[in-house]
Amino acid sequence: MKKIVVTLCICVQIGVAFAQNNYAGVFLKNEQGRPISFDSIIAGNKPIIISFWATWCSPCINELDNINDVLEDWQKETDVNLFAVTIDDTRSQASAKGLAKGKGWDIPILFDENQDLKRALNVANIPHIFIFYKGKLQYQHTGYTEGAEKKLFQTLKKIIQG
Amino acid sequence: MYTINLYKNYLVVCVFSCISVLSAAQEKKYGKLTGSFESFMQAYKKQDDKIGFVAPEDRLRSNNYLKIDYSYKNFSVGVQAESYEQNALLGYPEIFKGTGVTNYYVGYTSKKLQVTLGHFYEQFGNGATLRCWEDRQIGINNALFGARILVKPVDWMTVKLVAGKKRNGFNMGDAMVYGTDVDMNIYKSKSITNPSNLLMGISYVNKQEDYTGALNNVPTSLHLMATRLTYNNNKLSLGTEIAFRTNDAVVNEMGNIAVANKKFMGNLIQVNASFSGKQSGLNLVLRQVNNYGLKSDRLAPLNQLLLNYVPALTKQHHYSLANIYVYNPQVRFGFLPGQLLNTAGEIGGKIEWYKNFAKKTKWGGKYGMQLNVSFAQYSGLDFTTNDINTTKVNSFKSNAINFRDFHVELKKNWSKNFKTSITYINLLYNQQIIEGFGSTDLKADITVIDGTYKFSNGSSIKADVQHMWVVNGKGNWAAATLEYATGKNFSFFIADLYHYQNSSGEVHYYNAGSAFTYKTLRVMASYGRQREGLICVGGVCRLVPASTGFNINTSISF
Repeated sequence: MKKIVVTLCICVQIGVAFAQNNYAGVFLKNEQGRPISFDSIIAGNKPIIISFWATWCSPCINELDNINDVLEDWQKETDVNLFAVTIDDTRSQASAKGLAKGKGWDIPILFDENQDLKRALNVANIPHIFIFYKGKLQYQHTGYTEGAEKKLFQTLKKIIQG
Repeated sequence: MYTINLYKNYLVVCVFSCISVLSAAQEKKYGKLTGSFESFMQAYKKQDDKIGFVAPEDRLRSNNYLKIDYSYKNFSVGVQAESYEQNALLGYPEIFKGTGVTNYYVGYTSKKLQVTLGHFYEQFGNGATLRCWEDRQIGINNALFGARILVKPVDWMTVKLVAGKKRNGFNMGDAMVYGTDVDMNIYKSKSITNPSNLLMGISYVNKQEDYTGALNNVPTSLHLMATRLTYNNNKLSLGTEIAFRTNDAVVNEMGNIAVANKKFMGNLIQVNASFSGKQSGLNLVLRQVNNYGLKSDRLAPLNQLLLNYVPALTKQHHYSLANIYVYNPQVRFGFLPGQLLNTAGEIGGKIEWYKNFAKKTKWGGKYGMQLNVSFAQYSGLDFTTNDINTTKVNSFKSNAINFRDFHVELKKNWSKNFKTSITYINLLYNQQIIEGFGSTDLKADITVIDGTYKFSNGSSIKADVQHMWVVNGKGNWAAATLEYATGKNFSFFIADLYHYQNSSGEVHYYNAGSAFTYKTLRVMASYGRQREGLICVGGVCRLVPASTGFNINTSISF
């Protein structure tokens, strides 16, 4: 058992420098209950923001409230697509769509029903935001404090400008 | 058993060989390596007389999780190792002890086919027949160890086949679990402005578990079958799920078989409806659960080896006082000492409404306002006698109320920098049913006022004040939290839950700490006193003993 743990540690140290994310084969459900592959969501030439949230996560809801307020301006400038991926399970999933509508969010909701994408992207705490561009992961950040969406937009513009 | 162990050993060797070989050549064209590390550490104070806490001998405890995945073209491999040193945190079951590899797999993925050998997670539909998931806060990881195949023969159909044994700590359960699920989008309208869909699913799960005890006729095979149907369009979603089961041995409060082979007709019937307006959402759920909370090993204690997932369909509150009296769903037979049948399932529902009053409207004012109202009530299913050998459970007939929860929350934005919310919750909590002791009629009223102010330099401050009036319980509580975020990487908090009307003497459950966040790294350090109670995530709860000490939680992904 000790040998296994040691091997593991060596692997981690070698691997850290070249890490990306592994999400092949992960499906999410859209608001119509139909499965969509995550690969198809991040494919294409538009920048994609993926924001992990849940109905029980206040900072997540604050973040999406604040981004929703400025999203139209962001889209005019960058053509970005934003998806709010909820990790709510069966207990609170039905509330997720109601909450999004009731807050007037113009953000498509995707359902990570059994947290497959959360595991594949190694999300430990939410809120957690990812920026994908041309199919590749460019940036990620965990946590939210008021006003952090401004910095997120600056980062998005830098990524697009290359 | 021998075959499974041999298979296990070969798989471990295979996985580690793959990772070791491939990670030696770390260029993009040789694949991607990713992972995460998470650690929860507690150092307990020796003694805290105020809450009757005496620390165990090993006062420094931690739960640590390391996960690594590697993918190359269509193939992937992964491992997870866990370490509980010196021992697992207080309140975690004994199965979490020591250090070792807990999960490993190899997988192949293409557009129409996925194959996984080793440990995997899965959920059929809403989880009524099968759910394999991980929740570190509750101490759950019941991944299946075996084989999983997913096939999409056509675009609108997904077929899954699974077989294996459920993970239990560093080992596996005894039972073999087999399952299949078919998910179909049987109708999709051609409209672009108002698309509509009809979705249907069927699942079947079989559990095989030997019995070598003295009783006769203990079933060794359990069959579960469920079907689900959902219709939705832009404004409306209607769905139903109906699940049945064959009988299994009933286990009493001592963890022994109470009844070997009584033919109980267990079922789970659920109806969901939701309506979406432009600025509002309404959802309704009605559910009956009759003997449908299942484990893969019939005698598994507490939250170990859960086979399916039947959560509490109640409002999940985020304020601390609203998480003291939390509903634990009554999904199986519950007994009082002496094998007296106390509860036999539940029936009830929840309705919830979200409404947005947009900016620059009459009700929304200049900056907007949001309203959320919900109501939930669950009662026990009616049964004829306390003697499990002769009782009969009456479907669609209720007896005493187990839980009721009325909630209203109003959030108002006063300016670009300042927002407040006010919340009122009214609870009825049948402590006798939910916890096995206490009043059948515990009532609580909770009010919370909460405000956030954002400064021009990017920092922000958040505060809340809470109060709970309790009748037929252990007295009133008050609470307050103050949180300051620098707007860069640090935040600080101080909180107190004050049980001022406690009959054994008033107690402050204080807590203070700080969190540091940088990219995907988060470190949180705090010191405080934890009250005894349930930590619930979804419908699954873990009993946490009272304790005092220092915590450090770390997480990073790479």
